[in-house]
Amino acid sequence: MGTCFLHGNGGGAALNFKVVGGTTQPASPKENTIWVNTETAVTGWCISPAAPLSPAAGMVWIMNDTRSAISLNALKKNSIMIWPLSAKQYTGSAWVDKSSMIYQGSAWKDFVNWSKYIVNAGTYKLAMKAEGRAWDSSWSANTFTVTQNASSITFKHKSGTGMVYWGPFDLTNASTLTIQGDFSGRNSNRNTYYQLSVWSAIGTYVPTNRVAVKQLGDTGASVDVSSLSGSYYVGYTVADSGTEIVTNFFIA
Amino acid sequence: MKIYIDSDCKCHASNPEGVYTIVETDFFDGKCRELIEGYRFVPSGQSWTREDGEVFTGEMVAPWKDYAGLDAAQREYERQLLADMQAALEMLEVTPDEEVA
Repeated sequence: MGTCFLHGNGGGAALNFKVVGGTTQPASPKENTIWVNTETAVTGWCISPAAPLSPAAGMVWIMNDTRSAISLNALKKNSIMIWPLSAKQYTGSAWVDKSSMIYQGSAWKDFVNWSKYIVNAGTYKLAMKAEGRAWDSSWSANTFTVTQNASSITFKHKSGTGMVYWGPFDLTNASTLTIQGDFSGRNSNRNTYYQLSVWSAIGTYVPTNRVAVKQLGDTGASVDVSSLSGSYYVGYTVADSGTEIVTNFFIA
Repeated sequence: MKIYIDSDCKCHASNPEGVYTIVETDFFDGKCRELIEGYRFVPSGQSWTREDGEVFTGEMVAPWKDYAGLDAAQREYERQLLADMQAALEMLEVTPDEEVA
């Protein structure tokens, strides 16, 4: 794990793309210019499904993953196809997420298809709320501590009930809604309250206006949303003390 | 409340021939028959396979009928409930500021 698939500095005569860093989007980019939004100098780059084993400080790792909305031929002659999904830069001790875009067809484009992803490797564009809310009149609302990690989000909470949700999100062309991560820290005594949920609107109590639910397992859950069209709030529900780590949340 | 599910995990509000499986759930509390019967309930420990081959394990509760129609039926049900309650109050000649003896 960690062997670089493609590695370089800037661009090259044989390559069909270029990686540039900086806090300002390049003014006159060529096709397939990858811009990494960073104030730290880019000392090199690596395109690989997994993180490089021995990175130098300043190196940019572009994760190669077919979940990306973008694909390009890395070579001017012959073909090595790559799908840039995310970019991280090595600080010297850790990988830090960096927003990135690619210039294709006269436009700057996101790596991630945000009409398909609610959360992608811990990043998201839609408004997110982690809020305490009573399940019914016998419960009280809890409070959340939210921590943004390099490629996930950690949600911690204590007594009471609540919900984590994003939206509204369009489920018109979706068959399945899936949330992935580490949910093994959920409260095992309150297991039935931990549910992947779809709401038509956010109401007084947690279950108010819920349209579909699926029990969460240790690694997440998937729910059938093939009969839903239009926009909904999507997320999950909790009760009492627990910790959940969300990595990905998407439709298919 | 009690609902009933068939072999395809589709929900039924009644079990006239006694062939369905009984399920106890609060998901459908306050919901009308038309909405209930537009849903699928997959019990915990069981699974259901969608037409495209994707397998869903329980517990899962999700509509199989177009949700817009189910939602419209529920809103009409609630509107009728409210109308019935208001008619009953009028019959008792109760105004909003009075208490029923």
